[in-house]
Amino acid sequence: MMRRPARTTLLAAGLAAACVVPVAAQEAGGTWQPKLEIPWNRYYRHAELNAWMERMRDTWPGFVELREIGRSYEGRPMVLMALTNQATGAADDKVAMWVDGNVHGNEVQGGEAALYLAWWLLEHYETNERARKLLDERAFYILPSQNPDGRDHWFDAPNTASSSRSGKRPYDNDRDGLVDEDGYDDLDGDGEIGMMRKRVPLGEGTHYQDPDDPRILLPVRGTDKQGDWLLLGSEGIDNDGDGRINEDGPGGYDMNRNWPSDWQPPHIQYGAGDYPLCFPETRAIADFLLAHPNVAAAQSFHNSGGMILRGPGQESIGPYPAADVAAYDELGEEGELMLPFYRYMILWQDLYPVHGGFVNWVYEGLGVFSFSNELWASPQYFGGTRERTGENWYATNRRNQLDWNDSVMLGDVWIDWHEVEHPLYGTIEIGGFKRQHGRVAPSFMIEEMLHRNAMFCARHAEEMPRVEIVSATAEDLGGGLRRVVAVLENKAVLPSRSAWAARNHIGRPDLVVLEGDGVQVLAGGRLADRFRPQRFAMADSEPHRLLLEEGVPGRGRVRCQWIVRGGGTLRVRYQAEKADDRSAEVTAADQVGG
Amino acid sequence: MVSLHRLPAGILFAFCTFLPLPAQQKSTNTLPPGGYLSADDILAHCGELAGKDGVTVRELARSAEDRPLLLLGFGERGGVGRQAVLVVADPDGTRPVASQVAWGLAQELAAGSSPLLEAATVYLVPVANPDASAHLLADGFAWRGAPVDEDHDARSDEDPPDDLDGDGLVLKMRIPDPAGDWLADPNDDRAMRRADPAHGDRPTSRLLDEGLDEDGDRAFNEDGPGGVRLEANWPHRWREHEPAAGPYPLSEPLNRALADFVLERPNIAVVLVFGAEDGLARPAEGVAEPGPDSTEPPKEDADLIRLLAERLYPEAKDGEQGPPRTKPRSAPHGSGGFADWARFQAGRLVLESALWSPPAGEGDEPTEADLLAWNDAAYGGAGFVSWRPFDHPQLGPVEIGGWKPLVRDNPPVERIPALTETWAGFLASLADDFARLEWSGIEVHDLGEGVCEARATLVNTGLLPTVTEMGRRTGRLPRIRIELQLPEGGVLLGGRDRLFAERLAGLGGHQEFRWLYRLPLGSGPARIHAESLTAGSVDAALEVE
Ligand SMILES: [Zn+2]
Repeated sequence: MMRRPARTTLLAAGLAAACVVPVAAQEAGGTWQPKLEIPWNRYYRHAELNAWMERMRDTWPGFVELREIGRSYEGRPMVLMALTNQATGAADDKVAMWVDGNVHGNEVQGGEAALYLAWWLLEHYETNERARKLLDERAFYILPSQNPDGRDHWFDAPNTASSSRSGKRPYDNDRDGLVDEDGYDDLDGDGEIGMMRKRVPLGEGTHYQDPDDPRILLPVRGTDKQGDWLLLGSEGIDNDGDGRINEDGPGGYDMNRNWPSDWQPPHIQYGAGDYPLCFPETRAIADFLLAHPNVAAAQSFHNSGGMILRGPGQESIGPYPAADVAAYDELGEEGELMLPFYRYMILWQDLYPVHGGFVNWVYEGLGVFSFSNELWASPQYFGGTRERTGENWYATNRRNQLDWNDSVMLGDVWIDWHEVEHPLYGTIEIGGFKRQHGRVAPSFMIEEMLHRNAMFCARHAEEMPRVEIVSATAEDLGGGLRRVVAVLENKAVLPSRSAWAARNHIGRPDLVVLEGDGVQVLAGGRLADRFRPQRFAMADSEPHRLLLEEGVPGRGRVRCQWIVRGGGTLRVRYQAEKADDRSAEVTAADQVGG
Repeated sequence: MVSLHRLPAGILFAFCTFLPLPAQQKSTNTLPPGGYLSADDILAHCGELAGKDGVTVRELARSAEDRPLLLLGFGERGGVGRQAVLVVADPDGTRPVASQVAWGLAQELAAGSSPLLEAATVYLVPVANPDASAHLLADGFAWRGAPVDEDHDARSDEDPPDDLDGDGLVLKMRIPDPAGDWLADPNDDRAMRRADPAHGDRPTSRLLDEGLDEDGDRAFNEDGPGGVRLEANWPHRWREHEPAAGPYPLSEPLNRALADFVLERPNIAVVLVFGAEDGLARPAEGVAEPGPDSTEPPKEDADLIRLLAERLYPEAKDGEQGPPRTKPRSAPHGSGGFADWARFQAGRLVLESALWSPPAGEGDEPTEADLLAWNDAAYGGAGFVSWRPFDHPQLGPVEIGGWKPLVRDNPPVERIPALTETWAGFLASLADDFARLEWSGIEVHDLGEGVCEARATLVNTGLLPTVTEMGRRTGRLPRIRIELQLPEGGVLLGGRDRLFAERLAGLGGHQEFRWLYRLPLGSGPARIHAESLTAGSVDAALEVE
């Protein structure tokens, strides 16, 4: 951290070596009374999210700073919360974690998860030592919605669980010279976009009704059944008369394919945008992150499927360096324990290949460890008691979900099939699940989803690099010469520089500087073999100012050694982009060998 | 030691006068950049064109040093599908000849007499990298945008090249070193060549740019002023993590403004780039399937570029004397350049020229010996500073000398008018080439009781395609819209009343359409309408034969 004077080691003690201040255990016995009661059983429009952040700022003075980092295409303010105890230092002077949600407008619950993280830490600052340390020693940059236009549109316009993924900049998806001219149409005026089906004479249909539940249509393909139903897609008409329905709706691109690392144009990667960061939302976020090298960890929230995803997004990138994979695995595997029904996965290998994804850029472009969680998994509906796969998975899954609707929700999330006149198809039926079913958690299960995911972030933040100078000693070599050895130790899982950052020269290497009046530094370098101190990697130039390209490894040590002439006092200073600055006076060695 | 860009002008002048006068004959050529207009002069002149009839002047963005990125428009007028040519000069800021020629073209186009303006709009960016161009003429090396830590030592711009001997130039240092890579040509001590063990060469020297090792890292001039190169900052084949490429593609406002301008105008059919690379002198063969990192256009587009290149460099016919014109030397294919973006992502027909090289001897490209001979003949040897001893504070005795900047890639100012005429002629020659839609092969059969079956073929009679093959592949350029317009009461029985054609190649590329419809009694014929943002529109009546 270049911009901040060195802090004492007291503040940044590791998890194990804590300086314990006893506090009242207010949460015990269920007597906890939140300072700010936020109903965590619903989802909020963008302005409501911002209003909650303002309430937090007012409830906890000195912890919450709100910054508008840009405006969405439709002009909504992108308000970022810089969260930290400002009394111990400004957010920008601390090692920080980035948390965002909702780059896909319909994947709303990431916004609440990001908000919940801030809220929980603030509520527990007084009572929970680890929450207090996170807010005293670390910072969070929290942007609940990367895509406020898509978010609000999902709430307020007729949509499905999967639509309004895009931002709202008009886009000509069908290349007819018109933009956004053929989206969904709410034909029955119920505010929902259902599926359309039409009964046809037996033998002319592609589907038949499930004998166990006539609400379900099953495909005849691959069976000996005769079909009497056609499935006609989502509710809509051919607005532009081109023979297709709903093929050019609002927006029509994917901001999670618009990031610079491994970006490819739209004919190679669907939705990529005309060039990297061409959208105001992605651009504002990228400019913020590029200006904040103190970000050492990142989390992005999506839905759904129950996944803890990391890059690479393409096999062609090659595997990430082994040291980084080890750190990723440790956090990801802990996440699987914290998040039942979630699996820790690699994007290209376990989900699908993408070019230009956000968490890919954060790691591959900025060298920062980053996860993307897919919140909510359908086995959670019945707590995993129903089969997730099976011989007739499609039918079983539909039946399970309708069971859920019928029993647990008393029919609240399903629109029964009902007749509507369609200008092209004639009499059809419209029905299906409402948008709040399938990809977002049901209201009564929201808080658990938010808590588990927020705590996954907190754990990640706890493991951001935590480097200390554990010793700095000088040994007299005679003839006016001394050998100085400084030992740096990182107690956290994450290295102060990812191996990827080191390999690609991203950002600034860590610096270890030896200072002293009247002292001539003859040589300096990393010491790999403490028993053969002559065999150290002498720097080619400027031996008093060592550049540690690899930083200090996670749960590891780095030894730096100098040969100096002259008797003045010496001081070792450590400076890193992603770890707190340290400084220590060099003391005489008790014993030879350092 | 003072670095060059801080050197007072007076010193610069004084040292120039002490140069030994060459023994060769007097010459009428002015050593470049003598007589060249500075970037600021050109921008000022262009600004003065504002308000002139048929000329528009746009400021697309401002540079880091607050120079405007100017874009001139000539013959801009409305109408769907009026096509356009975009000329972009010196995007790397290393070839001042490009902006000199571009300014010459601007004056011609402003006069309004070019036949090209009848057929198309011309957009011209006379100085695409104004800061770099300005510094090149003033300092002798192109300045490159925002400060960057090229050598990754947590300091930026701390080790620039330096004018050690105070002659106003940053040249080369020849350092005696038996472990070096170079030796002097035995026939001409000025010329250095790489030692080749296969020829029994014994290396004698190292060659470095003139300068000090300011930061003591044993590397010379490795972290000079600025760093982000506009010509490495475009999205196609952008090199992530290369400092000169910028933090992300189009991070530089000048580039992004130009990109947006092009993307908003699918009617820009041809992009002509005057820069360091030359795809016209030696056109690419083209490939069947250009991959995401291709440097070669699709075969169809390469064939077209070759046809156009022959206008500049006609093949020698049997028994005729070949053309005397030397083909310009091309810089190696770069990464993240404007031309590649315009070709592979914006999908336009891109023509690139390096404009000029000194005459070649044997081959079609000048060798080092050819260059020295040209220097002696054209400039009386003044373009090359002979090696002179210098006591380097870090390296000990060295020699300083070498080519003056600009001499090898930029002609004497006296040649600029002829060069400008060549390119004005080339641009004028495009006037008849643009894609043109025509309806042909219209057949309408009366099937009785008003029922008609009609066929019509839409043909592109121009040389250029409606969109390039690469443009078709990008899927981002508009298609040709075809409409059947039936008179009131008419009924479509077969076919579609609105449909699209992807691309019609030049020179007769075509697509046939067919309809079945019924006309009301006594009505006029049905009509067909084709319309393209890249090729204009055309109507026809479906008259029964
Ligand atoms: Zn998503």
